[in-house]
Formats: sequence, C-alpha cells, structure tokens
Amino acid sequence: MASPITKIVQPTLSESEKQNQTVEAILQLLAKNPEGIQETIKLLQELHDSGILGALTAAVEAKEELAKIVVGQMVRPPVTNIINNAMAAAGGLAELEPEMTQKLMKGVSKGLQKADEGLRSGQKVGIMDLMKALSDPDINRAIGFGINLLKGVGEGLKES
Amino acid sequence: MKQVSFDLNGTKRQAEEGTRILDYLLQQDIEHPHVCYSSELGPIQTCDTCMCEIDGKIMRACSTQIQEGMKILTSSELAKNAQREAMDRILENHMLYCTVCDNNNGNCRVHNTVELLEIEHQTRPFREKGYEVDTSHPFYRYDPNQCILCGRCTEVCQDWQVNETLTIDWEREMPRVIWDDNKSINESSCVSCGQCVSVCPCNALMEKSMLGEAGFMSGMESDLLNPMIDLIKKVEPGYSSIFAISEMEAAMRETKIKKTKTVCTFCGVGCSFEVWTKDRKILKVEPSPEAPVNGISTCVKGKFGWDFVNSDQRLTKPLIRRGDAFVEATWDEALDVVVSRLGAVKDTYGPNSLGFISSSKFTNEENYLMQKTARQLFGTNNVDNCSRYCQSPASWGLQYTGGIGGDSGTIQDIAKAGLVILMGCAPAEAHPVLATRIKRAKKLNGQKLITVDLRKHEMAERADLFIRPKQGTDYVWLAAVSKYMIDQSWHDAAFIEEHVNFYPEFVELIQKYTLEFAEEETGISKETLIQIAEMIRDADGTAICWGMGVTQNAGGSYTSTAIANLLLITGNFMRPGAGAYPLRGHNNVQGAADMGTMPNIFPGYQPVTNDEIRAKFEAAYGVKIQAQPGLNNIQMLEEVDRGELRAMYVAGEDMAWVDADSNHTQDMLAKLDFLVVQDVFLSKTAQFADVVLPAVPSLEKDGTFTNTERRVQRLYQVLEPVGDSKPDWWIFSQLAKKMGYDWNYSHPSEIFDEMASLTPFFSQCNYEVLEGWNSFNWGSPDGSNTPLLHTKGFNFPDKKARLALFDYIPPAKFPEEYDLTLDNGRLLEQFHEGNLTNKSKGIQYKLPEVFVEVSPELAKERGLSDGTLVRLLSPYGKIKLRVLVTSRMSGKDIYVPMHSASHESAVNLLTGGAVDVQTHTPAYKQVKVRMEILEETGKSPLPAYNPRYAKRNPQLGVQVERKWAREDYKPIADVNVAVDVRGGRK
Repeated sequence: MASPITKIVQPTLSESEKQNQTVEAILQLLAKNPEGIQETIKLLQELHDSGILGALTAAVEAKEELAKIVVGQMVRPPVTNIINNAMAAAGGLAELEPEMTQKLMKGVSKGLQKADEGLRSGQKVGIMDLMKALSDPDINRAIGFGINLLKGVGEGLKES
Repeated sequence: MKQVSFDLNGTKRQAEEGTRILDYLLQQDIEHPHVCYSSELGPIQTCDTCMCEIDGKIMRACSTQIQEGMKILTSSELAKNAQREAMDRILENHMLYCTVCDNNNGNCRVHNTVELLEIEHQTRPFREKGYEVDTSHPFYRYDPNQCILCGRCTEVCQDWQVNETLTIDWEREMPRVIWDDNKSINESSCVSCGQCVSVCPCNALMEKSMLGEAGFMSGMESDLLNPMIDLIKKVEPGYSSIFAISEMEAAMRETKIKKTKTVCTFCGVGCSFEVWTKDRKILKVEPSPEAPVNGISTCVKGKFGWDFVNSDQRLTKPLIRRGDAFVEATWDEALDVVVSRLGAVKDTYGPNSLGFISSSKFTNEENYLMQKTARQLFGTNNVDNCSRYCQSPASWGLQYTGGIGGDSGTIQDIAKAGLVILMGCAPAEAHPVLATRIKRAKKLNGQKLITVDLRKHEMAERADLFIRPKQGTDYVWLAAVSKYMIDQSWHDAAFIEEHVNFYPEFVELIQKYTLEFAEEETGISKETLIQIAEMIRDADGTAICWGMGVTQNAGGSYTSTAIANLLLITGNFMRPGAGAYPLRGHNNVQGAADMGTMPNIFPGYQPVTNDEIRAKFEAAYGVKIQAQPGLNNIQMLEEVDRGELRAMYVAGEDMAWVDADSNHTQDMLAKLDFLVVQDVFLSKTAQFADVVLPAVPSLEKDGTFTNTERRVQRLYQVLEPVGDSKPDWWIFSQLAKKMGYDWNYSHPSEIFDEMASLTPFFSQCNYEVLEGWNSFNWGSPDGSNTPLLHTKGFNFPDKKARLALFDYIPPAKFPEEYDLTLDNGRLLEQFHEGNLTNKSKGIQYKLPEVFVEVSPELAKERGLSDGTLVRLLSPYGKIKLRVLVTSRMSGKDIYVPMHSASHESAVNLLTGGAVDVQTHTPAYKQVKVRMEILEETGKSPLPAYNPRYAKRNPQLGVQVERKWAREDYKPIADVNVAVDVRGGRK
C-alpha cells in the first residue's frame, strides 16, 4: 500500500563534498585538453608579466562605463567630423588611379629635392628668371599639370 | 499546362501560363527585391519594391502574370528607380540599427532587400509615427515606429490563422497595425498564435523572448544604445558599410544561436518548426514554409509554451521510495531495484501480474521499446497506452470498416473538402492549426461547415449549420441521415457496388432510424436532418472530423462506424478532399498504437493471436510470446482491484488524473506491490511510485512522432538532458541490459530500422527518408508512402470496405438527482491536465484556472454569476470551482476544462462508470452531476484580458486598395489592381 508522497530527500552534501565534486569536474576537463591548457597558461603568464592582463581586466570590469565614454566622445561634432572627413577622404582616395598617384608622388619627391637644393644655394629669383623658367620644359610641364588640376577641382566642386 | 514565351532582360524564356513573374524569378533562383510577398501569403502589393519594367510600363513582379510575348526588364533604369523609390518610402518608416537589432539574424527581409538594392542613402529621413510601443502582451510586442506597414501580419491573422484580430488602419494620418478596434494587444481577441510575429519582415513584431537576447549588442541598456544609434546616424556612412558590420554580427550570432528542427507535442496535428536556442535558453520557435503540415502556422502552445523544459521542477535524478520520502539514487541503484522487484513479482505471480502503460507523448522508437520490454523482458502482452482513453473507438471503427485505423488523408484533404463536419471536437481549442485550415477554406473558398457539439465553441460560431444533439445520440442522426439519403437515392450506388460489402444488410439495419425517430432521440428536427443530407449531397467531397465527444461514450466505437458507413454510402472515401478524420489529441497517439503498445497487437496492427506473425516476433526477440492478448488499461486496474495484477510500469502518463474516476484510479495505484513511473515531473502518478525514473521531454532527444495524418516526422535533439535525466529509449535499453538483453542501440534510428523490418506498413521508411522536413505517411501493406488511404482498394483481401452492422447504444443513465450534463475537454491555451503548460507564466496569466461554464438560462434559474463558487457532485466524486456564464453553453449542459491537477478541481474526480462496448474507452462524456452553491459571489475565474471576451474584426486581407486611395499616396506602378490573395501556395 503506497500513499502518494512528494518529499524528496536530497543527499546533503557538506561544503567540502560539493567542492570536491566541482574540482573533480574541472580536473576531468583539464585532463582531456592538456596541450591547449598548457599553452593557455603560458599565454596568461606572459600577459600578466607584461601588465596587459591587469589593464584588460580593469577595462572589462568597467566595460559599460568605458563604452559610454567612448560613444559619448565619438558622438561629439569634432569627432563625427573627423570620422566623416576620414571616410570622405578614404572615399576620394578610393577613386584615384594608383598609377597616377605614383607618378605624382615621384614628381613631388623630385620637386622637393630640387627645391631643397635651390633653398640651400640661397639664389634669389627675379622676374626674368621666372619668365626664363617658363620655357624650361620640366617647369612648363608642372605648371600645365597645376592648371589642369585646378580646372578639375573646379569642376568637381560644381558637381557637388 | 500551356507554356508561354517571353523575354526576360533580353533572353527568351518559357514558363507555365499563369505564373507570376516573381514566382518565376524565385523558382529560377534569380534574385529580385521583394518585402511583402511570400509564397504562403501571395502578392500583398503593399511594399512596391518588386517593380519591373514590363513592355515599357512599371508593374509589380509579385502580382503580374507572365503573358505570351511579354518583355520584362527587372533592372532597367526605370525599374531600379521604382524599386529604390519604394524602398526609400519604407525606410522613412524603419530605422536601420541592424547591428543592435534582435532581428539581425541573416533572415531580415528589410535588411536583405535594402542591401540587394544597393541603397547607400535615403532621401526621406526616418521619422517616428508617434505611437507608443505596445508591450502589453505576455509573449510579443509591437513597435509601430519600426513597422513598415507591409501588412504581412494582417494577412496571416485574417486569412491564415483566421482569428481576424489585426487590421491596418489606413485612413488615420499615420497608419499603423491595430488590434481589434484599437485595443491593446493584451486586451484584444488575439489568441497568441504568434504567426504575425513569425511573418513580420523586420523587428516591428518580436517575440519577447528574443528581445535583448539574440544579438551580441542588442541587450544594451538604452542609455548606451541610443547614443550608439545617434552616432551611426550622425556619421551617416553609406548603408553598405553599416551592413558590413551588421552582417559580421549576424555571422557571429550563427555560432551562438542553435536552430534545430523539432515536432510539436501539444496535440496530434504534428506541426514542425525550428527551435532557436542560446545555451539552454529558448529564444523562439520559428516555423518554416517547408513544414509539411503547418507551414508557417503555429498556436500559442507550440509557439510560446515551452517553459516547462527549463522548469526547476524537472526530475533530475532517479528516486527510490524509502518510507515517507523519495531518496535520490544513481541509475544503477534505481534500475537494480526495478529489475529485482518486477522480477520478484513475475516469479511469484507470473508474467501477467505485471502491467505496462506506454505514452502517447514519447517517440515511436520508445513506444516500440515499451512493447518490446513487456513482451521480451517480462513475457506479457499486458501493455497499453493512453489512446485507450481517447481514440481507440475511432481507430477500431475505421479498422473494422476500411481495414486501417487512421485518418483517410491529410490536412490538405480537409482543406480541400466541399463540406467539413466536425463532431464532438473543438479544433480551434484542441487542434488549433488544423482549425485554421478549415476556417481559411471556409472564408476564402466557400467550404461548408457543419458543427455538432454541446458547446458553441468557435467552430460552432463559424459553422453554416450548428446542431446540438442530446449527449451521446450521434449514432442516431448519422443513421437517419444515411437512411434518408438512400431513400432519396442520393447515395453513390456505383461506389457501393464496386467497393463496399454488406450494403443490403445495412439498408435493412437502418430501416428503424427514421427522421421521426431521430428527431425524438436526438432533439434535432427533421428539417435540420434533411438539410444535413442535402449539404452532403451537394458537396464536392465530405470530410468528417471527430473527437472525444464521439469516442468517449458507451457506444463510441459504433458511432465511429456509423460515420464511416455514412461516408461509404456517399462515396466519400478513396478520393482527395473527403474521408474520415479522427483528430488525435496528442503528438503520438497514432504512433503509440502503430508501434503496438496495445495488448492485442504487435507494431503495425499485427495481431498477437496470429501464429505466423507471433512466430516472426518470437524469432526476432528470441523468446516465447503469449498467444493470448493481454489486458488493456481499464482491465489492468480491474485486475489490480482483484489482486491479480501486482506491479505496474507507467511511462509518460499521468494516469492518476487522466483515467476516469480519479479517486478509484489512485486507490488502485496505492494498492500495487510495486510501481515504476518514468516521467519528466513528479506527477501525481509518480507520487505513488516506488521508483521514479527521470525522463526527458521531446526537445532533449532524437526520434519520430506520428501525427493524426499517419505522418511520421523526425525530431532532432535541441538541448542536452537536464541533470541525470535520460531519454526513455536509453532507460529501456539499460533495463534490458540489466536483464541480460543487450539491445545495443546507439541511436533511435536503429530502433526504427528494427521496427520497420518487422512491420510491413513501415518497410519503406527509415531515417534518411525522414531527413529534415521530409515525412512519411504509412498506410499501404507494401510499406509505401500513402498520404491518401485506400486509393488501391480497402485493406481487406477483396479490397472492399465493410459496412458495419452494429446497433445504437443509448447513453448511460444516471439517478435523477444528477440533473446537469457534464461536458469536458480542453481549452486552447492549456494542454491536457496542465502539467506542462502550467509552467508557462504567460499561459497561466491568460488562463490561470479551471472553471465551470454554464448557460445564461441555468445561471438565471440557480442565481449564478461569474465567480460564484460551486460544488459539482457525481456518483464518483466531487470538485469545487468558480462559475463562468457564457452563451457557449445551453440549458443544463455545463463544461469543465480538464487542465487541472488539483484535488479540488480535476474533472476526472467526477467521471467514471460506463465504458465503450468494444474498446473499453471510458465514457468521460456521459456524466451527469448536480450542483451546490458554496459562495454566491466571487472573482471571475477568467481574466478580463482573455481573448474570449473580445470581438473579432473580420475582413479580407490587408486591403491595400485603401492605402492606394490615400491622398498622399503617389503610385509607383502604372497598374494598381487589388488581386485575389488566395494565390498563396497552400
């Protein structure tokens, strides 16, 4: 004759027994993955020694606050301007042809070299020198480039 | 089908005439933008993103049918501009904060369409609509500010679920979705089926269980979230950059969120869907168009009722009774006790002193092992399952007449039928998704509906004809309608001649069932009976669905044959859109019987009395098997009373509350020498046990279930078992091992294979056939897939059906003092006696307690009102509960829902007495009670926010023409014609 019962007696585990159970489970896990664990421990020690771990821990602990500060900073107009500028600039760069850029950079570098030489010689430039310079094929090419560049910029400004 | 030739983006192509452009594109895997369209809902035409240039005009791909010679450009400048314009209007209504949105799971239609259209910026800035987010409902919330007004939710509510709660109020300045006449969701007629949430193409409608859980960053507090959204808005990068990040996030979610296909366990319809989980947390249930039964449909239980799986009341350790308490034990210890005690009883009193009760909730494989346990390990045929309580009479009746005890066809056949007759079943409560198909067929296709019940439930409200025959008299009107139709020559003489035996004898038998006699016995007027006959005559296919209102009667099996007889003489078998459909109440009622957990049959209805078949199983099991059928459930308890049956093994069945006459059942359980109970919770039955074995629910194991359509479907393990709980098949296997039978199954598929090798009906089925969303309907002796039964003849040697020649059995009589007829059954929200669904806070909130529903007449006569506390007394017991007065009940009929496992209110404390003449199914429905008033006034037992109080708002679909009629609507398309949205796939 069995009467209905609802009482369930759970084996009362002492604190140390509970602890042992947990430790046992972890040990099993460790034993199953020795290589990964060893490597992880090494990595953790390196991180600790270098102080990175401490900094990371602090940052993670304060993650909500940090995120708020970062987002709060980022949402200010100067920062959004930077981001927008950076993205616009990046967009512009994306449109340039690399060959042209290479050519231009070469020219600029050579130009800088010559300019520096001129600067060092301390030579004064008069009107006549300027007129003469125009007929120098290298300078003429550069000025032509400059004028056409200005024209292109002007057109670009009109479009937007 | 006629083919038409057309030009698509400069190439010649062909398609079937009538194909819509978008359907064609999707069939050909050609990406094309669309938001509101889906294969189920058809062209709703609200989003305008699928525009094409067709012969120079802008037209929608979703609603335009391909014509001969048509020139279609899907991405001309004209088409692209139209698509982008449409999306721009959508983005005015929806802010793209995808990375921090819980709907960013790779399947967001809005996200994916913006991306497909390569939209970088919007010209109309996003603006809020000025409405509060509605969070009133326990399971989901609506955010009008994210709602793009595509109307998918409205379509599905109006024309798939057909609960008719949602509409879009197109005329207000800022249109939005509204519930009923602008109520809060919680106070509306919403029945929480969740389909609106499932079809929402963005995050406007979300399951609350997803919020703050699905994404890596979506759980952020608003004081961090809002500045982040602001940041993204101020920075205004092109959307492609935003999407790059949100897609990375979505890809990361894939690693965290597991999506597993399973089959629902809350009724016999057999809905399948994916369960999304994050560790043990159930994020949501996501239905799929690929699900063979339900497609995108669910009900409240399937969509939201799974909290019990993570309940802290789950059994996690085997328990052994020691004195007045259970003590936790290891599996070894517990199974040792089971083996030694059951063995001792068997040795002392013989194998037939043991009884095994199997479960209609656990899998086919586990049912197979339960009968194997009884027959091989313990040498007895004393094994039964709970279909004995519900559907055995229906199965018996169909087996007797047609040779197979299962539904004639599928849910599609019910939807296709010209006339559906519902008898003693309330599918909108107990088989909700199946009910939606009938409601849809009626609303959209003019299907006729006759409902036969004591209670005017939703399907009675919706019926063309609702009749209330006196309790237990259905046989009579069925016979009378049969006779009348034969008298009028409305029967199908050719069908009878070719396919039916015993027609002359049948005609003779029913001579006495005249309309006059029927009117007197059932209370249904002659005119109404003639109307029923006419409706059957005029219908292109009649499908009769029935439930416990028929089967749980003294003559339940004969009434089931009367249904089959009526269908046979009218030729309503062997064809689509017709037939007999007993609606199985649990996920695996069909499967439990199919697997032979019955005293007289092996799996696949192979009789134990057949020497050849028995020899086959003896060879397979390596033991002698008794040639005599064993005891059924009811007989087992009788034998307990007589001291002949001494020990029982009950798995997954709460007999203590589910058997009729609970007091008696519990006395019998207490009388046993030894009782093992295997369950997920410490059920009432388990409380009587000597050993309790912790099993797992369906989400924690692999296996198959067989639904009411005879459809076998696989469920895949979603979660790991909790604690030391184990799948039932594992438990049976360990038991066998301890008894020296090493079954050695490593996976349920091997159990299925063994079963199939012994069972002709399943010989062509295995786990590969059932992979993923695939399924298999058994029903042919050659083991082939058989969605529609009997197309090659009935399952008898001469291929002919047999008209059943049984007579009417009048309902049991009660002493006069018991003056009220007690109807009982389920309500939508709760399942069975409530052990599972009562763990869901949301469900408990919507439907907390059982009550007694009484008619306004009875209330007036007795002075009852909502909240009156009454005692109901029957010859078997008494309960007390509160009154609810509703027009669903009439006269002296009262209704008590069964979802109580309390000594105060469980309805089976009242039931008992008569059983079905053939199958011994208790006549739960033939109970009369009397009523005493305990407290005249009290709080209504049904909360004011239960949907039963609210009024529905039917209309056809979303009514896009009202959107087009707005003054501020500037057409994008050159053609705007509302189309018949019935063109969805199913």
